[in-house]
Amino acid sequence: MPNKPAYRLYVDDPVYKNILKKEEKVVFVDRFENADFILFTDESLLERYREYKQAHPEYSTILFATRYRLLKNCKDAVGALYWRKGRPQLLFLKPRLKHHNIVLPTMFKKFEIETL
Amino acid sequence: MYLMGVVLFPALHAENQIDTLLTEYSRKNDLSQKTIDQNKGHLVLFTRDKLERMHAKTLKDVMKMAPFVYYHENRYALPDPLTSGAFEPYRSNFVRLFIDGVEITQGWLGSGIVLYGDMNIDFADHIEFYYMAPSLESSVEPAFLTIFVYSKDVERDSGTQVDVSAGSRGYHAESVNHSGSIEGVSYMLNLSHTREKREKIANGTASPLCRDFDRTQLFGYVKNESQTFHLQLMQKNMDALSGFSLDATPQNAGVDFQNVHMDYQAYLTERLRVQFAYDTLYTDIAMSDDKPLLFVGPLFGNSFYAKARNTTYSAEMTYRTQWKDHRVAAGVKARMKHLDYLKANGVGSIPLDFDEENILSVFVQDQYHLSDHELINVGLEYSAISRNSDALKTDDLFQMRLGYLWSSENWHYKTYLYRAMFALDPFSTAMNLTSFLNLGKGSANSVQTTWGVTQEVGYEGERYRADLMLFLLKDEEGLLQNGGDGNTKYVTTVLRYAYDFDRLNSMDLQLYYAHYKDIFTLDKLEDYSGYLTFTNTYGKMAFYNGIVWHLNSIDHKNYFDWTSSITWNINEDLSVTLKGENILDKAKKTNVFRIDPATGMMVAPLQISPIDRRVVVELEYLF
Repeated sequence: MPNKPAYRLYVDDPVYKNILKKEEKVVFVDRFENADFILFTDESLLERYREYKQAHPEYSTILFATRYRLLKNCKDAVGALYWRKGRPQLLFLKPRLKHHNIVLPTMFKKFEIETL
Repeated sequence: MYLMGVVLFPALHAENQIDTLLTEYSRKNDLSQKTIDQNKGHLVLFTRDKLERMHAKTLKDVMKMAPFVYYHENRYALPDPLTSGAFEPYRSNFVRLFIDGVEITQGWLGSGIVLYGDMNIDFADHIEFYYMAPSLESSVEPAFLTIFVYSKDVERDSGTQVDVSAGSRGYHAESVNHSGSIEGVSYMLNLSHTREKREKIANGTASPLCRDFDRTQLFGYVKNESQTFHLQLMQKNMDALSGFSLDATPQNAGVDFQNVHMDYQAYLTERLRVQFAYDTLYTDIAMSDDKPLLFVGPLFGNSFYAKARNTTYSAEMTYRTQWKDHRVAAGVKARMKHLDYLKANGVGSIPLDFDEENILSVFVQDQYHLSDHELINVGLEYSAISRNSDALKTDDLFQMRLGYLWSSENWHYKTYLYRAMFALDPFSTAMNLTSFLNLGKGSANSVQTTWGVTQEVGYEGERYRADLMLFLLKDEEGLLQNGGDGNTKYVTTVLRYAYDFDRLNSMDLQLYYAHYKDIFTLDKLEDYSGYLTFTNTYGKMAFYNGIVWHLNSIDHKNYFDWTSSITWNINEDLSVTLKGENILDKAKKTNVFRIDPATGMMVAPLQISPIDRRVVVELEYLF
């Protein structure tokens, strides 16, 4: 069988990139347009994404954020893992998951919410 | 951040429960903060999560749970954990405060605790207490306890936080915190204001003692990878409890402070670090009584209105290198404390025996890795303290620490041998020479030597952590004698146990016992204390309950300080908290001794708790 990578990920933050490069099933792509996943770590990437999306309304990919503010400001992000008052928080938005036909494993169910 | 991989690619980690992982991640992150160094010594850590769950708003809220010293205020209502309640100017010079690794000092008054001991900590991420001499890299002056407050990290806390609270007797406090980063430069600004309306203390007259204060505080930093600049400003106008009144019946007792602190740190190379700090403190003192006052003598009659300013300049250079299995650090530190002026109304400048104190320290330390699990730590420091006084010789302070650490996946053990030397703050030293008041042994050049052998053993399981500290200490020529000969021997133990029921529910237990031999005028003193806290979360509601307990062999009286809070997290941005402090009104009290100036006889001391009984409502908004 061809050794096809399972996930194409775009992340421009070198710290996160360094962490995630340890995952064997991940390949990094240089342009977010080619990614299965985009990891949002700051506002600048969000701006670039919005500009591209405006020019290409048909474009669709899975977005995940590292800050609550990014999850709130980007209606396309399916979830976020972020810090709040010194504790890591994990959230997934059910309607957005459904939009992408994503069904999370059972262990994530308690982190799914309807709205922010 | 490694957790990101787990979340994004769960199939690879299906055997793990996410909840457990989040808990573990949170804890490991707390302990992996680059500031935290277990090699420094015996650490009591208040993590960000713990501070948030406690709803700790001031350093006082945290210090009251820190073993050995806890939180006390002196007869002037100033934070002074080691106060005896007697007539000394200040006792806690051996407790030192650092913010982001730089000491906040009040120079002439000594420790920064005097002004910052109850500061607002909305800017703080976590707080570390190290007992005995920690790593010699950090301290210019020797200390028994060093408190390191570290500010919030932009990575985890960018944005704005507004916090307003109101409580009993008209208390209110406001705080705004904003942080972010622009092109590799991080910044934070925290502005807070506190109107502290406190319980009044009956003193047998129609005018009870007051300790209200109004404080405005600003904290800010700008930093990049190699440089950091901090600015701190504080204005505090306070009622000074009994002030200079010998029998604690002042007609007027107030002090206003204005403080500026600035520091700059830079890594010139990967190994060479320099740091400069500037502290200045303006003090405006207003004291009067219908009888002669403490300290000031007959020259001033029954009132003392004065203004003072002192300035401190600190500089240090540290070189660190790795050579084979040795991590070597060496450095030189210098500090100049200058009393710019001390002027009294109607008298003008008050001459003191000296107005400048200089400290020069050199240190070297080596952390040698015997194996992957073992480390030996050796440190030596020499400090010379000189003053511009003919009556004083240079104080030579020599510090030494030798440590052995062993750790495995679950267990850790550490032991240290210490020799530390301490001197009085310059104000107390000057008072010894120029006032009728005679502190210490009557010699302004008194230097205390403390020897210590300490041990700590700990175990960390999946859901719980436990450790036991055992300290054997001996003071020689003790500076804070209060009638004793200053040669005190003491044993202290701290047992801590923390259990996580799950990610959002936990408990903490601490038990402390100390046995002192030959302290003050006592042959023996035993001190017991501890705390038990529970944090619980149910949906959007979070609960905190904590009881701090004290008992000693002097009066065998139990004191309980119960703090309880309920927080409603309305959404991710907005929360409301109802908090009760010292709910039982049985928190530990400190004696304030009194003398009747007419007879010179001692009067029954006042017993005052530094913890007010209070209910507070707090609103917090993040955006």
